[in-house]
Amino acid sequence: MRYLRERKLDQMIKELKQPVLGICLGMQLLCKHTEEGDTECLGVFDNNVRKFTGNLKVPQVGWNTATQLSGSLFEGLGNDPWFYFVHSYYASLGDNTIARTDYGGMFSSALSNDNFYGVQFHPEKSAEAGEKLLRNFLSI
Amino acid sequence: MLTKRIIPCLDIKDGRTVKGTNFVQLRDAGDPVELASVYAKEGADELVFLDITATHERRKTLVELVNRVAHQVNIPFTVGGGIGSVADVSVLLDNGADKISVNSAAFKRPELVNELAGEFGSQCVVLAIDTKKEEDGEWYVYLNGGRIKTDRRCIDWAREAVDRGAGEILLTSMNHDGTKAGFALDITAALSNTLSVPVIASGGGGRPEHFEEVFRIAGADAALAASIFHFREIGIPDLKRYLSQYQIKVRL
Repeated sequence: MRYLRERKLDQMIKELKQPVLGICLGMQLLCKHTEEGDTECLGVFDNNVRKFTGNLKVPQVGWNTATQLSGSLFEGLGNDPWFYFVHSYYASLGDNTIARTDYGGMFSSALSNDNFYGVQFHPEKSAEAGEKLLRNFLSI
Repeated sequence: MLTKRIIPCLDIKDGRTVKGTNFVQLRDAGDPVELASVYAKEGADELVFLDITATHERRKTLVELVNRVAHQVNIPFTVGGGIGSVADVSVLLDNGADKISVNSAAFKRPELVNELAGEFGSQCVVLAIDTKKEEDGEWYVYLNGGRIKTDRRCIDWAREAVDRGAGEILLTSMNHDGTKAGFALDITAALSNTLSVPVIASGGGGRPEHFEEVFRIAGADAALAASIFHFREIGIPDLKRYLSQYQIKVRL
């Protein structure tokens, strides 16, 4: 966030009108606040980012399903597609949630608000499902 | 729910896969990219490329390979072998590697793990340990591809490396490697049950039930193997269907 602010990209990003996709940390930066360094983020999504706690291996590394999907980003991907995740922090559930994933509890694995989209997983590393999602994004 | 991962490992020398393969559909069995693409299509969850080249030209060839893999393979991959500095890692990640694995260099200079985790994040730092069970019943760390024994216990070094920022442990049992008699369940369980990061079990996987055991009994997060996949002794789709039948969560 410091990097974005120093270059005044924080304002610029929020004013973008074209479709924007944030991946992994890119999605978290579009949220309201993160526990990582107790940092205020861009606030495009009305979600807070927290660290995984409890009896879990952190980071979550590997393939998990995205469920309760909504919106065109997931078109043609079936009910519970697999995606590749690598992260220690997660976005809470909220009105902007368009996909949920379970790792010691449900979190937002995808978010959207107007022209902004965010995915916690890495579509570029998620085999055919990831490629399909990226194609869906490009056709928005 | 997070799945268990199946990871084929490709040994690379001068930019080519060694040990050979038994894939009939490959045009060029020595091309790592072609082999990697087949594994990705078959449902491999990740790939590991282990560079065993010893020449000075190695870095350039490896970097070119990493770049080609990143362009043509759509699943995550780790690159290891001879990595000893932040600069080594930087060029590999810049060319598209998702993670790197460090072994001997990190043992000889443990601060390397802190440096890599600090610079690039723990998520891309895999600590590889070659370990062997000695007559005293303890598992010790070995270096330089298993040629040099150390007095350090595997579990102690693994704990230290995780404290220093390693994001995953790739554990190879020298007692089991190449035997196809099953993974080292005891040391895998010891690490998996006590470390806060994922553990990849390696060495000894020869039959589907070995994979089932290492996940169910030893609690491994991932299992790695090489020749059984290269020589089609076990197909990845068959292995995953087998695991699924035994209630091991895998990506199908």
